[in-house]
Amino acid sequence: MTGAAVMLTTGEFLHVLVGGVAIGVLGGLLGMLLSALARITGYRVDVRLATYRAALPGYDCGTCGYATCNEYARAIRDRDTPSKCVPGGRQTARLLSEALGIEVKVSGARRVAQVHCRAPVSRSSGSDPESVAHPRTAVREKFRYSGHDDCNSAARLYGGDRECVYGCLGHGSCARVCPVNAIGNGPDGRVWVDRNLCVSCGLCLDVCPTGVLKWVPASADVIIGCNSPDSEAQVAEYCSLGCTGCRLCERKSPAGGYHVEHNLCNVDYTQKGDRRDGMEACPTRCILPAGSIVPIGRKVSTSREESPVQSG
Amino acid sequence: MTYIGIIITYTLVQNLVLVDLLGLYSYVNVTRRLDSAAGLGLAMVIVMSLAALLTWVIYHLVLLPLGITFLQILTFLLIIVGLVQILEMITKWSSGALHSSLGSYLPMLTVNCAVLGIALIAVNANYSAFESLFAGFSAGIGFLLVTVVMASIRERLDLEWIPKPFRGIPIAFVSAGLMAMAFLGFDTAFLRNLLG
Repeated sequence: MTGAAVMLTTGEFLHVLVGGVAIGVLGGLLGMLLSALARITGYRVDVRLATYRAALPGYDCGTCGYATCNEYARAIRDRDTPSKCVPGGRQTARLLSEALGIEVKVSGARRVAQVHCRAPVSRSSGSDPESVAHPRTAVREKFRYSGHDDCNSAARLYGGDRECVYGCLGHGSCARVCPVNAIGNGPDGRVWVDRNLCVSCGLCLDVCPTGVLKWVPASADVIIGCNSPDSEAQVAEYCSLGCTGCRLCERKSPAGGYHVEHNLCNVDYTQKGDRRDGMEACPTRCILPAGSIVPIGRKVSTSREESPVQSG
Repeated sequence: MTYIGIIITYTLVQNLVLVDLLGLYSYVNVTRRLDSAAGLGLAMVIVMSLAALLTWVIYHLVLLPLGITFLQILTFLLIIVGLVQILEMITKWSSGALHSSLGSYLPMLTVNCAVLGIALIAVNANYSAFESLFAGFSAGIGFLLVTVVMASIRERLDLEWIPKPFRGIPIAFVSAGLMAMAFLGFDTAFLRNLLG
């Protein structure tokens, strides 16, 4: 007998059999008790609630004003307006329309988060050969940060390891909170938001310590790649890619909605005029064509020559 | 005297959350607000008492006579799940107010390890039926105590400036650790000295 080790004696077999039957009988009795009780008390699982919950995306992001998608589903059942789920987008709206039998429209133009900084960051992340190939040239370093790889930890130490305390620190805390993985670090450490994937939940804006992530309309054609309100002389000292507030864009594209405030260029996206001349005139090239912001995650550009900001 | 010993043991000395580290999920997630912490704690008192009693009955009337005590974990889980479902039906049927105050916490207790924990502890300690019920009740009171204290601490922490990396769950665990250290003061030797 080769299988002697796993063979059961008759006694053991009976033992197991009794156990199995006992559990089965117990479960059966419990099930009958429950169904009888359900019949008596008229207990029903709320099917509507489950449908609403299934229609919601499940990010638990809090955009609708409720802490979780479960709570919002309950609120919809209790007659709250079903159009508050912006992150769910069209699909959630469609599913809710089917479930409720009315047309659900998520109001407002879609907006996406974007990183307003184009400084390449080369984190000395050890053995990664690509990071060595792209030394950080744009922003002066204050010191060498070798702590926990997290933006908020880095910012706690003198506002980060770069002279510019307004820009992207590049540790990717936003990428970690993003529920749909729309944010990623490029190989050179630059942080991108894929605006096709962004669901406008705003979790990245909350977590970012420097405020470099800001809303832009999804239809935006240009993005300002700088967040520093410092004066021209100060910016020029620590960053070769920042906005100096020279107002050249305002002059070249008067109808483009460019306006410089506190030495920082802003775009009024409601102005539909041409913004191309202003963008091309920018001496530090910190006005980026929005379409060229390439999603990461899929590694697109690895060398600085091919990187989208250079093509602007 | 045994009952005083049981209530002191399971509320203070061997607190399920702080000493045995059971039920941490509900402990951390429900203690953001005081009212929800109290609601969960009350539900816990009821479920734990009934679970300890029911599992004693099943253990001594079914598992022991049949000699299948090795199935106690599986059986107890089954019973607790059924018990919680029955409680949910009854609360929903009896009154809307009771259901809205307790009902939302009951599903959280369906597979809560603190409930299973007290059932197993009570059975392994060879308690009588009434002692089991009492142990479950005491453990529930212990849970209620620590969740309410914890929720009060966290409501205060909300007003304080906390370094960003510590916000939310991390500071909750740090507070829980400090609380557990404070509860270490209630050890058996101390109580023996106190009661003579």
